[in-house]
Amino acid sequence: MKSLTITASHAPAGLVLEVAGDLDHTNAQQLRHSAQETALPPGRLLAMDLSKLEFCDSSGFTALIAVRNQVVSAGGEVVLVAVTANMRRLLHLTGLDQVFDIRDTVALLTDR
Amino acid sequence: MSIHRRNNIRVTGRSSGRTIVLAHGFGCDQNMWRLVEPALAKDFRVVLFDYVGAGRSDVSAWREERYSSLDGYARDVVEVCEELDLRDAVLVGHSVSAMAGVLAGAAAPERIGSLVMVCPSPYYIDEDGYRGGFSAEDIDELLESLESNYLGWSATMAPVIMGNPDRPELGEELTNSFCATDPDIARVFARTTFLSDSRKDLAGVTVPTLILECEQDAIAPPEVGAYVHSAIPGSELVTLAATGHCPQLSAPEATASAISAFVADLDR
Amino acid sequence: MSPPTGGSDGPGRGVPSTRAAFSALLEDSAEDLYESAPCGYLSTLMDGTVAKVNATLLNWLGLSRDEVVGRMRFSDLLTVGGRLYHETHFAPLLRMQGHLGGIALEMRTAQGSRLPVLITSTVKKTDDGEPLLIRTTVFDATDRRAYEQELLRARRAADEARKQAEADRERLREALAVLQQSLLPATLPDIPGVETAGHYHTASPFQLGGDFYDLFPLDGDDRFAFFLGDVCGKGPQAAALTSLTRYTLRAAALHDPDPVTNLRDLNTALLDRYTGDDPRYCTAVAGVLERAGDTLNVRLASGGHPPALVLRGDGGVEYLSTPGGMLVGALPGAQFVQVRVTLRPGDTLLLYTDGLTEARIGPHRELYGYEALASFAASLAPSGPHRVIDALTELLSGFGDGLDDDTALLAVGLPARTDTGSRDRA
Repeated sequence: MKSLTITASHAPAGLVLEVAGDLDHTNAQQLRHSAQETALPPGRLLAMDLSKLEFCDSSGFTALIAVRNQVVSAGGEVVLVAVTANMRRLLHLTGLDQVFDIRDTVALLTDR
Repeated sequence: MSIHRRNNIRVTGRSSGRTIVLAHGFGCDQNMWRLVEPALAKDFRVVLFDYVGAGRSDVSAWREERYSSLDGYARDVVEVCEELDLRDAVLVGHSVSAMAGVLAGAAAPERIGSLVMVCPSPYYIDEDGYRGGFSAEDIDELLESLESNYLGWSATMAPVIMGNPDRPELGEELTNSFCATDPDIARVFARTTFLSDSRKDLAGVTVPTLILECEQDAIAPPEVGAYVHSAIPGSELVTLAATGHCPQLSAPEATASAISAFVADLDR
Repeated sequence: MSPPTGGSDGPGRGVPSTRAAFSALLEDSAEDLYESAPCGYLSTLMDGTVAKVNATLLNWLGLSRDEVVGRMRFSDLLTVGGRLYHETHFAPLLRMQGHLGGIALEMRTAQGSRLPVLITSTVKKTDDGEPLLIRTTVFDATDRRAYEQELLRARRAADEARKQAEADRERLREALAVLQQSLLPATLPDIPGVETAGHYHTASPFQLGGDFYDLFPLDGDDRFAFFLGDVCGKGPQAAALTSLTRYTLRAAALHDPDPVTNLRDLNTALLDRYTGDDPRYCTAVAGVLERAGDTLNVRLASGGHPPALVLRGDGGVEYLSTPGGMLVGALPGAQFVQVRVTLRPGDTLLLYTDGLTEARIGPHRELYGYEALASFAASLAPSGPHRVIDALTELLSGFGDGLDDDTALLAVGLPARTDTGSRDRA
């Protein structure tokens, strides 16, 4: 089992959180806290870069949804970036691909 | 599990002779009889066994409920007799086994035709008008001692220090040279031996009975032998010129010849 | 040991002083060594009467030589408990073995106190092998005994704690099993002409799982509702969510047997109960079975759940895809998608949770996945619900530790018209 690493970096349109490793019930809280700490101003974008996310269980999905709910209720937007094939399959299965804005690369963030 | 294996039954001696069952007491196993066995084997068929929990019996068959009363040990005796389909056997019981033998004889009279009680005691504690040789506190001390450390350093401490229940052979090696008894089993056997009061059972004995006692016995004083003798109608009391609680070890010849003479008399 | 060197006796006198010390040692008589040795010595006749005893032991016991020699037996020097032990264990074994070592006993001193000792005894025999006397050494074991007692006490405390922990664990396991059972139907209802089978695989007896299923009549023998799903998370909170989910779906289906409506009701109920900061959701398949002649019409809605599988009587296998159905309870206004399928005699509908498809197999721990499941089903088809569930139960147990999630299975089917018509699996 791999540990979870969350790295924040700023982009012109908002904030990028790189979520790497395994996101599961042991560490899902960590993602929620990281998102809370960012305190994104309204109208800005939170991008979660999932290119290095290797595993995500139901608690991981819960955290993704909670982060989305929190950002959206504060007037922001959430984007999932560089989603792996397996993650894309799960997002599709759970219908979450209709809820999350899913993009291929972080670079697109700068085009807004 | 057959009773044969469970109680580690061994049969020796003259197969045409009368059957003598030798039942060991608290402390050791059938090895207690090894000095008298050759003499008895010349004329008789000799049956040796270990109570469940002692010697090379099947320890897994031991149940605390069963062996917390003398009836449990008596059942072992009866089951050994049944296993060998014995009729009219002579039961020689040492110490606590003398009393287990009384109970076994009452339960299976057709199998046990006569009793030899070696250093018997129906009750170990002094009470008004009765001298058992010990006070209740003495017995508590013994039990306390047994429960803590009296099983001998190796028997008690080996499993503690080895702390290795997965490899019991480690502890076994140390304790084999000693009385190979599990401390928990010994504790139950000791409580049953020293706290049972079987005085009432003596009056029910109707079979020919020989009582063997030693001149000096730290466990069963002469008063106890006299008590048993007077309580069993028609019993015979022989005092051996021996010391200690185990005449079969300290005076094997005298013990064997007293038993032989008694058994020979039965057939007259 | 090296001889003493004379140390403090001053310079120039070293050599003569060493000689003096040596001669003093040499003069140390065997008798003095016996009497003042740092351990007790004792010789007894075979009946235990003390024949000889050294000053060290007399000193320890507070007794005079005259009181002991010829008057007391070895066992008289012991506590009563020690005496009983001596008679029942020590003496018989010494007789049998001729030697006995390292036995822990307690002696009684003249002052009445106890002296823990370690005893070693040897039987001295005559030239022709007759036992003559018993030689015994006695070591003061006060400190050692205290240490042993401490070890024993610690061992007992640890044993006690372990037993308690095992008992607690067993009670917890039982409580969890009862709780888990309460989230599943005790038995599936008997539907004339329809075969049903279910299975629940518990990944850990100490972790409540969040899978669930149910099947129950709506009106008479002709309409039944069913559902199967998986709530997020594990443990007591998942169990609470499962309970809420199960009873909401049951009530909803009895009120209005429309699967999409039922999932919407559940979505509302979960959003109502759990806030946006703490979303709790499930994936679920809900459906209604309706008898139509000798077929069974199935309406089935899915919310974010792996697709159901149909094993056809002709050996074919198909997934019932419901793309776009969303997790239930995660988002307001979630969409759910319904499909219809008709089961004919010999067909079996299989519902499962993702414990099955997300199991890891092989050395590289690959996902078992949908393709493998379809192939496995194809190897079974045509098969009735019991055979399908039995085969999958066996498959699950074959996954070993590759399966670390709870898994629920539910199968509904119509028996083939004649038994001879069904193909036999090789």
